[in-house]
Amino acid sequence: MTELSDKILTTIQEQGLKPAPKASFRLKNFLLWALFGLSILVGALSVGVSIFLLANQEWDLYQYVTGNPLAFLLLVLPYFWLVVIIIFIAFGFYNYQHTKFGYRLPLLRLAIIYLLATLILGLGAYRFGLGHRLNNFFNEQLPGYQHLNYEHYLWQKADQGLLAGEIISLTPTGFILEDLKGDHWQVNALTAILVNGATLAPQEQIKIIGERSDVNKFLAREIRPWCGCGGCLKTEHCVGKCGR
Amino acid sequence: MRNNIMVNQEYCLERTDSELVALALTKADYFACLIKRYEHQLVVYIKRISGLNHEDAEDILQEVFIKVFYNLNDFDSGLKFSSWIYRITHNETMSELRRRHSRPTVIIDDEEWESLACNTDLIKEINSQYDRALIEKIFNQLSEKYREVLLLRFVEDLDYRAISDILRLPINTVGTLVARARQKFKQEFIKTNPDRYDRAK
Repeated sequence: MTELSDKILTTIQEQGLKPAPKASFRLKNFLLWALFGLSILVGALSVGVSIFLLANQEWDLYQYVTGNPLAFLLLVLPYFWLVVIIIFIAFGFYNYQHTKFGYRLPLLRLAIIYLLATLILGLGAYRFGLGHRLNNFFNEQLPGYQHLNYEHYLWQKADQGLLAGEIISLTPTGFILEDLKGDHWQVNALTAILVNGATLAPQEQIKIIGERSDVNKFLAREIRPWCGCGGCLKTEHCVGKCGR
Repeated sequence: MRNNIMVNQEYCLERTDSELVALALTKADYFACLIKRYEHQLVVYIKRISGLNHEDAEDILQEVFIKVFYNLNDFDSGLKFSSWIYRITHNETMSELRRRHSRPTVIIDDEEWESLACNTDLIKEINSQYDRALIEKIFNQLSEKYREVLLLRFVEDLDYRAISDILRLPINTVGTLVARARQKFKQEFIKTNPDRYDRAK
């Protein structure tokens, strides 16, 4: 036996060293794979919610806000979910690359596989209504979630013809509305058209397209329902009223 | 002092690395076979990539073998044992250098410098006579990632798959790094010796 091997075996014997159990390595590897799977799952759900939000966007509003559809798209992109997707992509990459042979797959190929997986699963999540449900869940359970959505601010642009809130009382020419900031407006709705099943009654939450006629006075041209927890989403996704 | 249980060296020689790993897991004495098989090449490798003296290199190697023994169950047959032990040696050496805050200096002998220069076609590419001092100077100016792959490829004579497993890089990246390293070498040569390059042309 060589001197070095004798020295090492003596150290092993004196310190009572034993190889770490196989189970601990298997557990570590399993955890890395599980976290990678989890990152794909969360990424896919985020994609599902993002698709839901974009698909239910009222794109016709661009003319009141930016006048340019592309600029409007940049305003209403679901940035919160995009950040979540990016975080979980990084998390997924980290975990995959630390699996036993994770380094063998080039980063670009891993990125393509990861994006395809999240996109396909995300489309599935959207298709089966998970994007919608998750969005409503966050609206109800996560304080401030609505404020992350540009649409919340979109309907506070009275000067640009967009106003939303709750009907306080009806008047001969329309109604009194409490907007999202709590200010009261006298709305003239004599010539307004009601779309998507909007109704005018006290405590109804609505969105109005029109123009500001005076201080806290608004002339309504079109009235849409303020749809449930989704805030500004289309009628088919209305799921009851939620706190603003 | 430990009770020596001698392992028959001939028995060791007839066994593959994977078989010896399996045996070492049942009886630590068989681990001596793996130590004996790899100690020389690894101590040389440590000295090559770090520039440390023999004693320091042996200290690192001892840590390497202890680590290898502790992690024996983590060895996967999807990997060559040699790649695995080189990886651990490489990482342990780099950690030691970081602890010492010292930049690795490549120390290889005359013959290996020449072989490095020839195998990488550096001499041919720069169309110059072999000049060890110059080659060594330029080589040591290259960044660590380039020196690593050049050493593993042309001095340790390892294939791309083994280098990929040692450095935990995709095989394509290893190929790219080798190509870039050669390119960098040529650029450095031209930059530092424009006269010689022009004359050689």
